[in-house]
Amino acid sequence: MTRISSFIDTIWAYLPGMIVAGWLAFQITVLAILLSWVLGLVAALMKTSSHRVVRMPADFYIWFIRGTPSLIQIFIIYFGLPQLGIRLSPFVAGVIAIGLCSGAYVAEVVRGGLLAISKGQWESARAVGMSYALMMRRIILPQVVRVIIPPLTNEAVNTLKNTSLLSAITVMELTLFTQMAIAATFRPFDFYIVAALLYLALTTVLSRFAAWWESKYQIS
Amino acid sequence: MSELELADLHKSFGSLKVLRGVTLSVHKGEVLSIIGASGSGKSTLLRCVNLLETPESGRMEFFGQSLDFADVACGRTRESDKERLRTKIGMVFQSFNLWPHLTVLENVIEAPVHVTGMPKDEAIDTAEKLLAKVGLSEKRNAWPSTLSGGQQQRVAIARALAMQPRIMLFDEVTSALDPEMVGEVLDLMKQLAEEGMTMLVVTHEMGFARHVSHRTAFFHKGEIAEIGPSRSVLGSPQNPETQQFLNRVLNHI
Repeated sequence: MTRISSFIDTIWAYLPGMIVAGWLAFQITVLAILLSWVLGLVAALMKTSSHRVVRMPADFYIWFIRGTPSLIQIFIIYFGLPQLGIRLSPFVAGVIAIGLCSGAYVAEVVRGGLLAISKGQWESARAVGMSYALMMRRIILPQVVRVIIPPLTNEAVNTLKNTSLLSAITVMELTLFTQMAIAATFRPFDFYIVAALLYLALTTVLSRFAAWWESKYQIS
Repeated sequence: MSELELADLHKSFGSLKVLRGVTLSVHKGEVLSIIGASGSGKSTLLRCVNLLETPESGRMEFFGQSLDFADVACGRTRESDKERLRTKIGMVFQSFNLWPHLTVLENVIEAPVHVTGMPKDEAIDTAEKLLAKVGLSEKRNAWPSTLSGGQQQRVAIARALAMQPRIMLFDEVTSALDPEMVGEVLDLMKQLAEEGMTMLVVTHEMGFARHVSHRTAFFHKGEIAEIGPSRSVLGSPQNPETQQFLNRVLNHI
């Protein structure tokens, strides 16, 4: 009984801080997702180009990111760049690192979506005189978006979970805050469980949003 | 007056020579059918005409505007010039290729509004007239996926017409249709022909070639083996290859 009541008291004391930390993780996630979409779209379009020179940087980006640990990428941005004179705050470094990482996966998702659109769609758009940019914006990408919402959701959830790696570069997000609470209270089980539940709540919000978004795109 | 002149077009895919020097002219208001076995290069010719494929060499003249493919292949023809040219060339595909995320009406107004910058209400007016012409007014708000093949192809024709093209290219437009829907599409094409539209029609419909088109060209191994008034090419072909082809096509059990 005292076990339970002391559990509630301790958690209660730290819960507001955990929620703030969770909110920070969520903000980083949203910004990183936006960055990853931009990077992923550009990389996917480059990768489907018929010019080798255009394809190569995108190939390298995807190859490098997918073949190296996210934690190392985060360390390169936060600890490595200052050596070159680029000093970023933990928050900014975190958003960039997580966004760069996710962008490579988004690129592959978008590329898959582009390949799923039949060649006839491209040709009929070209045949009425559309430029490449107009065809992409009006004809191809609206169809791609529909196909890729499920894998994109998956990737967004991964991005959110990846923010916990930012605890290693002193971003006071949910994982780091939880570790500090544990250091002060010696209750690892209680706090990790609560942290897990908070992450679960956040990923559920993301998935729900994605489900709503997908339903908006249903035709007839 | 020639709307379209092709001179000595050559096109290969790798080591496969698909067009071996095609010279052809289409007059204003003329309907020219192109027949021939699959793989003879007739579809490639159409795709070259609206620059979806780039020939290695040869010249093309469009409404007096000339295009040298040695230049195009070297990238000396700007992409925007190709795009401007394409707006004047309507193309209808075998597989319809309607845009599935847009309604029927949106499919028809898409290019006028976004490519030529026509005001939207004007484009809608035009589109409604075109949909009435192809007999699909009541489907204006339908999604393409809910239409039959014949209906989809008629929308595709309306979509091409919405750009007020000077020439229409038809690439085996009835080949993917169920037999009972072929007629509605051919009737529409016949109506366009009677209204004086310049048309280049790749087809397996010998009846259409014979009765609607003014001239017919028989394609064989990337070349025009025979060309002349449809009645003579289809009725009394001179070239033995044409005779053999027509025998194969017309006399099945």
